[in-house]
Amino acid sequence: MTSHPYKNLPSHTRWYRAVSTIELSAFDPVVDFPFVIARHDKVATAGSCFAQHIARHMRLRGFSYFVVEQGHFLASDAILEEFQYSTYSARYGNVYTSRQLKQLFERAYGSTAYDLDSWPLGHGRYADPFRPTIQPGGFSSLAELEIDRAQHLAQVRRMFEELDYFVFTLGLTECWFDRATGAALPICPGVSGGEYSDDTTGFVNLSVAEVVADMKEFLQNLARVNPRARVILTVSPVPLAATAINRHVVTSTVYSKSVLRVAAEELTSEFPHVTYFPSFEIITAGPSAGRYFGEDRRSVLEDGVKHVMGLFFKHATDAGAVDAAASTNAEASSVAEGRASINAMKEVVQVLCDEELLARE
Amino acid sequence: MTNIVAMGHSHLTRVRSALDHRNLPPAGTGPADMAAVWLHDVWVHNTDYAALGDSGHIEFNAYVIAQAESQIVDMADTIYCVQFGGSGHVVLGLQRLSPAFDFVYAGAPDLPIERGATVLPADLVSRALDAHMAPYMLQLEALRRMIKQPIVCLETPPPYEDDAYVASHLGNYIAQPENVVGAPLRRKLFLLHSQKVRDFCRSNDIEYMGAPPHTMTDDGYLVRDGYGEDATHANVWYGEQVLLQIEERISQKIGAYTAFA
Repeated sequence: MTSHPYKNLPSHTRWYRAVSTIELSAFDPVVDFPFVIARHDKVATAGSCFAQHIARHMRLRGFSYFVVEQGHFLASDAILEEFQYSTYSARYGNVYTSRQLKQLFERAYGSTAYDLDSWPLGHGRYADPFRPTIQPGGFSSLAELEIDRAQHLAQVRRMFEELDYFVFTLGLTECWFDRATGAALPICPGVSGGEYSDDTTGFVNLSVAEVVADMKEFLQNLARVNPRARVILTVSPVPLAATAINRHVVTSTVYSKSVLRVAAEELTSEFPHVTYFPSFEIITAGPSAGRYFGEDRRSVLEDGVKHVMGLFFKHATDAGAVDAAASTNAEASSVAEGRASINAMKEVVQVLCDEELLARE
Repeated sequence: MTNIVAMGHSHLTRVRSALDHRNLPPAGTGPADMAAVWLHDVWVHNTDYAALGDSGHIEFNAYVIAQAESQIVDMADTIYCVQFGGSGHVVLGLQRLSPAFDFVYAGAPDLPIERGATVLPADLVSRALDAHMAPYMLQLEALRRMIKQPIVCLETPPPYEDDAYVASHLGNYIAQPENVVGAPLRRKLFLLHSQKVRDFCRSNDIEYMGAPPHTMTDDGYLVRDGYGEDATHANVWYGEQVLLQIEERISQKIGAYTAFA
């Protein structure tokens, strides 16, 4: 019998052994993941909606999920969530495209090229065009928007400089931009603030070369301010909600995901500090065959997210050494301490008020 | 003759002190062309103004209303002046929290931000304030449901500008009195609190009466003449200015007063 290159390759290289004959729960396409995230490593996240799941599970499992904009304990967790504190590491909202990420970095470091002020929402309220849905109802004044933006970008700088791992989920290739400044927008003007006009708003469906170029620029910039940073790329398995091109949304989805997947491959081949985690494959390919999508055939079910994150913790982390409870408890106790201080003030005010009444006696 | 039923918590105490200083005859015995004040003192009565009722809603204390009605001969020309609670903003605006916070108040966007503070969205601070205001807003709402007469809700006294005065009038309750919130944030919280009460009143058919304008400096702080014995409540002089404002509102002088028992 003659030998050939496939002969000695491991099981995971064979569809029959790695896909056809295994249960969904045992499906594991992660091979030789190069990084091991330790509990103390600061992990920051950004990207499209799916990245929120990664953030949530990192926190739940007690990893050092690096959040530079936490809000404040004076508000309940539910309120903080509404205002998108801790949804991602900083309050940038969904960063769907490579262009947005490149731009976020440049803006954080002072670039004024993307000089977009605000989108009036009426009734004296304003949206930040770079994150139009970051808080319910937008900002209550221009001054608030400007101060919040400056604070946000300062924290983004801190995040980039201090993080150990940056998990970025590539989401879309379809991108709207402001013609005057070239600024990439997370959402088409007119959808959540702003006004759409062909004269002021352009559209681009990014190619592999464009995504790679954007990401290269970002990676080089990140390495300049934080040489130890390692980057984990993922591709969001969530299909496009809508395409701006007059063709079937499935066709656009496949194009978009294909471009992003190829771009991720090119980047991981070129940069040793960048790797790819196959969450896209876990949800969409092989044995899952759509079973992890909800009734709308778009939303990823929690079982799917758990599958992805289970493999992430197994392959990408030092999960055995993680004392999840300790880390989670530390964060919780700091918040509890803060809230206790407010309750103490409440009691002080009550005492002051009671004394006021007593003084009348 | 207008009858004024006054009720509320600690902030109403200065109004009562001012009434005491006027040495008025008991309500019901004063001149017919002058108003009478019937004041319910929550401290003396040790009553709650509202509680969760059998209906599952917060219900106003019927006993308090019945007490007032039993003493007032003609309820037709009666208004309720109330100052329930009113210290929600003080809970967040007395001692600087760690980490410190601040926000931009849209009505006064140029007020400075506390050094080193995390700037939060005003809407988020407003939502956080809800939790501290809920008890007395529910009382106000329950009163509105219970009675038909006009209700006038009095604004709480404006904030003090003098940080050192605040720090030295906190009693022994705060470990680091030097670490009080700065005046601009105190003012923003006051403005936000007042705006929320005003909006609530507007949508609940309740008249809102702001602090007498002359009791405030040009910058919106309580004038020195109104500083009280503690860090948050004003003094008798301020209470008197509120009485004058009420008299102007009803176009009658107050000629009699009883704290009903």
